[in-house]
Amino acid sequence: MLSQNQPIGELLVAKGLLTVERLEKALSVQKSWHVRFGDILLALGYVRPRDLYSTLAERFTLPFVDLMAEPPEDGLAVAEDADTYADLLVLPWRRDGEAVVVATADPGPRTLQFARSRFGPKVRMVVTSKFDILWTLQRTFETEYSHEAVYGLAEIDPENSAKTVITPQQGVFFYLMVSVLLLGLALAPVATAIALNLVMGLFYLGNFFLKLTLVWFGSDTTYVDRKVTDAEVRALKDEDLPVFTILVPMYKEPEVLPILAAALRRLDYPLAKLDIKLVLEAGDRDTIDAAKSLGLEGVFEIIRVPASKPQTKPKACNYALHFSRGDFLVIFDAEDQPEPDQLKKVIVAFNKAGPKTACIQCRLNYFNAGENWLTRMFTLDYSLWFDFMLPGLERLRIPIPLGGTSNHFRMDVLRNLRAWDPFNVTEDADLGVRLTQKGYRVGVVNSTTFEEANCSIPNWIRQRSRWIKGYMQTYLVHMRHPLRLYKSIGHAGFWGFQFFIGGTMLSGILNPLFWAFYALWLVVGGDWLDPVFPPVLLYLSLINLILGNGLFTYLSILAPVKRGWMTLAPWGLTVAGYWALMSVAAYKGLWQLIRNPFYWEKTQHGLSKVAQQEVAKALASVGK
Amino acid sequence: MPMIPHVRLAVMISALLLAQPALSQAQNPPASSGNVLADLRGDATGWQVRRTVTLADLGFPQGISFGGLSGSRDVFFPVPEWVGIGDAKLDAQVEYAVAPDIRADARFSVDGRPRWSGRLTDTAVKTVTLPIARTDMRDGFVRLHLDYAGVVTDNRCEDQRQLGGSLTLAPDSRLTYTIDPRAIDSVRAAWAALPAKVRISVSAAALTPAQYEAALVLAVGLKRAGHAVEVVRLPAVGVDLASGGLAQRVAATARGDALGAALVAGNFNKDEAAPATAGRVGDIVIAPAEEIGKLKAAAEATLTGLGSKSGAGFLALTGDAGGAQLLNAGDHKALAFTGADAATTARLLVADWWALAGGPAVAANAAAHDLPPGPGAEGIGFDRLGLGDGLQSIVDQGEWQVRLDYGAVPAGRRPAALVLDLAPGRSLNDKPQLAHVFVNNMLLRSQRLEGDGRLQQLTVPLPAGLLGRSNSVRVLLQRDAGGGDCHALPLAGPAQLLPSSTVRLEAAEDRARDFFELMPLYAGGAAVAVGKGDLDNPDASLPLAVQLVASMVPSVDRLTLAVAGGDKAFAPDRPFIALPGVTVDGASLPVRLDKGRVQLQDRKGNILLDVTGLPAMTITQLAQAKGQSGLVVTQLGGAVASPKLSTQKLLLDRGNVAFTDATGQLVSLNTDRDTAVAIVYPDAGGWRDYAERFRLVLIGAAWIALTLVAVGAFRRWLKNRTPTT
Repeated sequence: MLSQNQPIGELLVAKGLLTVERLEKALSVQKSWHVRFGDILLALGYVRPRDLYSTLAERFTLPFVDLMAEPPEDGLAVAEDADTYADLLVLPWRRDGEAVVVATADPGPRTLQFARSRFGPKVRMVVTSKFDILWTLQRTFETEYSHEAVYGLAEIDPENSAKTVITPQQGVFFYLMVSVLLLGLALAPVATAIALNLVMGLFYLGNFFLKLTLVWFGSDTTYVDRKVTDAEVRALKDEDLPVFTILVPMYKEPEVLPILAAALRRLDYPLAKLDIKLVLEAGDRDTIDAAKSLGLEGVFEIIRVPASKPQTKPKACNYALHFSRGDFLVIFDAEDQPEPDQLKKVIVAFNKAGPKTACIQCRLNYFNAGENWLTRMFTLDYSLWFDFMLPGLERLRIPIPLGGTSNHFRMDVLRNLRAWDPFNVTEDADLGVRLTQKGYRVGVVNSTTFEEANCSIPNWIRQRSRWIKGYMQTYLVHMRHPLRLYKSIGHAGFWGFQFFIGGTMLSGILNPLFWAFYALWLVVGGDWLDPVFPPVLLYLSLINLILGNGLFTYLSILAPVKRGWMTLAPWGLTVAGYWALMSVAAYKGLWQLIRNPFYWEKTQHGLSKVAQQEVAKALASVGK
Repeated sequence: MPMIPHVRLAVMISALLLAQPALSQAQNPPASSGNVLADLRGDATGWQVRRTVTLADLGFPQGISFGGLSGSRDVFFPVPEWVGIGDAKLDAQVEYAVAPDIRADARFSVDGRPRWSGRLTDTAVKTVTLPIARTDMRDGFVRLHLDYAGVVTDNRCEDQRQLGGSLTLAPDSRLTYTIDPRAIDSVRAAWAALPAKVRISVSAAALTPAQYEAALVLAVGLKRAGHAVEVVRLPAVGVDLASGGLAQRVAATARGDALGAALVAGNFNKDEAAPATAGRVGDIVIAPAEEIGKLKAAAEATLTGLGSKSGAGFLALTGDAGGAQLLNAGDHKALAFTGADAATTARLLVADWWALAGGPAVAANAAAHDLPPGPGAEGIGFDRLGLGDGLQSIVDQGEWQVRLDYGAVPAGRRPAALVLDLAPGRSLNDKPQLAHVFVNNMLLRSQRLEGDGRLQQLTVPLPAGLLGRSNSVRVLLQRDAGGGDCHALPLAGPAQLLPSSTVRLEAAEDRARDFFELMPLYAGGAAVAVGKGDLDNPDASLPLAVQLVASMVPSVDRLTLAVAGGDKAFAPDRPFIALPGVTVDGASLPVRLDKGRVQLQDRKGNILLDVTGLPAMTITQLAQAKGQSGLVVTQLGGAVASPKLSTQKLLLDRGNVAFTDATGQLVSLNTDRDTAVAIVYPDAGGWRDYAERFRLVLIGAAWIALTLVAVGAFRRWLKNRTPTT
């Protein structure tokens, strides 16, 4: 005999939907996690959502409705309250005479209070599942959510949106600059060429010194490598941990889903405090079906992003942000394998860094480093970038271009800043700079997420061309008002931005020109380049050529040493070939910036043999 | 004495012809025609030919000078072997300047025996004449030794710091002697008695390749032996003079000459006057026996017409056709090469085997250039570089100098290091000695020599790019002399750079990058490519060929001649020398003459040399063709090299292009390496020229295109902006 006063757990046991053992386990977990019992059951997969919510309806003597079968009445729900609907898991369902019937997955005082404030005291409630609420919300406000995801930033803060690739002022500036250059070449070609050469030589030298400085500061192992200790992680109590939203934007990559699911299950974090969103394109049936077929626990939610332009990852994330309930948010790529204690380390890092730190970037590296030359070089690249340069950037207060994944945000700051720019194809790098501009700080922490290194050169070039194009967009966006940028991020930040963001893309563009000139001179000889290289400039160029390239090669050799991957070190000698590939990608990125600035070059994941092994292992773990 | 009239006739007419330009200026009064005619009729007796060898002829155009207060030097004057020599004397002319307080002396020795000594005072020119007896000659040379010494004070140290005086053995110092042509009875004697300036007469008709090759081989051999060589054509009977050339020339220029007067007086039959040019027969004749026979017949007829008692024997050959044989040429015995084996026989004479030609005729049948090259050597001993025994008695320092000629490097090898076997000897005070090694005045090694003076081996690597055509190697040994104050000479001790010292060789590329690197390649065999026109006009092309071969090809043993012409390009199968007018199949040349004007410009674009502006210019280039390296010579302004072109100064060393005109070699550069100057083709219309010519147009077009793009972008921006405003 069921009693309305019985706890939900006992009701489920009485209905045979939950075993006593699981009930006791869930109750035990609840004591340490301090979350609602229903969330634990769903997170652990002990009860099907429909059974839970129908039992919940019985518990509150309310009707249970299936919103899929009985959809809400049109016009009741309003777009202004959409975020509140998602937050409270409530949705106006039908009218019953003068009363409005509200469907909710969380019947309680807050829900009732909200319903009465909107629909008057005669409001009635029915129970439905969280899935039904979220899915119906997506369906009902698809247009509004989609518009907000795409144009939210552009409408509220257009100066920080890459929707306009080049502003008219920038266009005039470029036009005048090129005109002056052409005038110089017409009137004094040699002097102009020398001046141009000097500027480029100084740029290379500045780039060289900045990277050297960053590595110098970033190599201080006491600063980052021991930023959060294991003891500090162990000191955290589960009940104090906030809800953490994990966004996993995916597109046509069903093959790596098991890796991600397995990795997220391994996270050392209360499962019920995880708000995991698999952000999928509505038309990507393969991935959606693959996600469903994995039988994921209730904490995994699928967000279907309606088709709209631009079809980019930041747009999908913006869309999913409407349904995110965490206090913190992190983005993982589908094939990511974060270290299990990463979320806790990030919480500690946020606590230690203070409220002005809005984002913590974790290190990225690869689990298939030794697969081929490209993966080795990619690993050296990332090791140098995340293990040396980003810590250096943080110490020197230079804007950090965030990596594509494993960047953890404070949710409130993220929402205030209108999250990611969907028109920027390196939205993460842009957001890092924007955070700094808005007075926030970005930190790095000693936790690594392992990814699949690109093992195919065409695929790598697609990926890298998108990154470089994104850097170009980021540079153009934040250089719309150079003085404002200078004032907002300071001297070091400004010049660091010039060389780190501008330098990274520009060196890829300029390198082939200088290589071509050098190779041509080696082949044909002669003195035709002599006028453009007066002695001082010749020495400067020689320094750049020998010392600069030598040092970068040396750093590539040094990069894996921090992690003890000594076998990778000799491969650093071949880094020049990697630079050549980068230049190919840079030119492709430049061309796309002109022709198709918002096109998202999709990186194909799951090509690696190691990734395939990881999939097999992940599937095996699901089977267990 | 049947030959005497011919001798006088030939000598006088040849002198007249050779001296023609000078005679045209001459204002000398006419001599008695009666005496001349008497000479012509053979009244003279006891004719001797006088020869002179000056110091300048031996390669000392400035003489030999000593500064300071001491000096000594050996000079070797060559004298022919196998020939009777008489009336020999040495006229040594010294020019000296010594201050009044200097006591200076000079001494001449001949073959080690003091022959004259004397005090030198003030400033003067003094000629010392030393009679030379047959016993003073040894191994074909007369060795003259000059000692010069002076003192100022009794203090040696002070004397060493004095400028002292100076003494110069003047370049005009000479050895003179006479030879008796009648005593020349063998090919080797005739070869040995060749004068300092040798005239090679080649057939008046087109040469056969063998004749051309023989002339080339002989000229090169003689040039290397220190002779000056001139190549002329034999007179063509009935042709050369039929135009009245000689008659008019004699009439116009030699009216004061006795012979000229006689000829003009009516004893001259222009159609049979070829013998009158017998002097032009020269010292070596390369022509078929038939052609020489016709000349002989014409000479006899002329002599008979002049009333000579006997014309028989003039231009007579001493043997059958072929090989080399003596030819009676009036005042001397010439050597005639008449057969198809001329080149082979010529090689015999220019080689060390010439002394075997003891008869009046000789023929050789073996061709050395058919032999395969020998194995590559591991080194070149210093004994081959002129070190001698390398033993010196030194006080405080001793110096050894040798010269490494790149021509001594065998085929396929290049110098890699010096391996010096140096026995410094013990010093008196047992202090370490110092050895310094210089190559081309670059100090490559300074080393302390520890030990007790025992033999030490120093290995000195030769840096790339240091060596050239001729390289000086200098080893300096220094020791602390100790002892001996300023009044006594410190005790000298022996030191020796052993002849076992070597230039160590290593494998070289089979491709030359500088001219001088061709020399080892040529040592393995060289082909000289000539055009058919060169066979027709050998006197025009041979000087250039001789110069190039003599200076570049270490040995003529493996020299071959290739004749190209018409549509047939020369396809080299070995290192080569292509004369002007020869097209080399597949040649890659540093200078392109098919791209219009060629200029040599410095870094700033200043024109240093407008090559195409000088019509008489020769461009010698290091070419690669069919996997072979070689020289390609191009004559601007005509296919046939101008006779006026100077070839005396064409000494190819570094570089891969050399420009030469009548004044000699103007410049040589390496187009791959040199950056201070560059070859430029102003008319070539390369991208740089087009870029420069159309720079403003291109920039203007670029700016217009940029503006159009900017305007288009601005319009698009406006269009996109309108709906939202």
